[in-house]
Amino acid sequence: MSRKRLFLLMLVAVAGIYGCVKTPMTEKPGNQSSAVAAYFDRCADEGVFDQFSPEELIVAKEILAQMNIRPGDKLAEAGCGAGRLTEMLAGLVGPEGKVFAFDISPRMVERCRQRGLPSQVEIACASAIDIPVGRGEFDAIICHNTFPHFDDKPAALREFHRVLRDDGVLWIVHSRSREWVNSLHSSIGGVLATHVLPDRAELERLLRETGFSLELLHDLPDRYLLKATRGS
Amino acid sequence: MIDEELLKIMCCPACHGDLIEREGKVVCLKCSRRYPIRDGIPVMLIDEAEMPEAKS
Repeated sequence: MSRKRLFLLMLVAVAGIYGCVKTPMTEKPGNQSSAVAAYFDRCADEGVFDQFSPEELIVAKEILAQMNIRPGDKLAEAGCGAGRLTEMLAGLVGPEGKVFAFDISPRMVERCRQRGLPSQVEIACASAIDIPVGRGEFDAIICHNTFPHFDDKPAALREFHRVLRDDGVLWIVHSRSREWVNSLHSSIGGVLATHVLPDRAELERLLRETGFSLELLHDLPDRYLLKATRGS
Repeated sequence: MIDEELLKIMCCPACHGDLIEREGKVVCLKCSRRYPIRDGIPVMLIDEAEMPEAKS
């Protein structure tokens, strides 16, 4: 694909996100979580996150290959959005596995359901701060383009620690660099203005304080990949 | 009706009690919070739950 086409695609994607934020607010004022849900409800209605761009799809496949997901694995996807990655995860865990896909935005979750994903996928509207799942349930948790949106990151990490098995793995992944993600959110402003992916030192501290150890962190122009392991 | 497997995996996000489906809601057997089901999807948000005394 030519650079010009790539640039145009990015422009369309960003314009789509801007379109979301400019839609008049009709929801009643509420706490931060409901404002985030309302924002992503509007994105869902506009179909912003329905599909990967061809470039994002290549990166997503490479990231998934690195995760070494095996048939039979039990995964949680924290912030499944419209289910574009959920579908790929379902294929990797197969019918013997499980993907618990949840999102705080009801309309995103509905979009995910409409995909007609296989029976190993279970979908719920839920918050990463209060995950409706018992202790030690999952082999891995995947936050794909979602971690900056969790307003209470220590609380989310404590929940991930609770629902992961011993030595379970937390993945925080993005289809761009940390700098790109943070400047996008600050340029959109509004409810997203404070949605920051912390720097390495801050993440290391947050992870350590919540019982994880950082195993790997790649921050590249076309991807961000963090792997942390749950201590027992 | 929501998927039986989903009910088995999930617990109450507020108290981690076991859940059942009753009268179109997901009900916690421990704290009795009732979570709505919208278009077949359980809405497991504590803010959206009805407390037992607030019967509709």
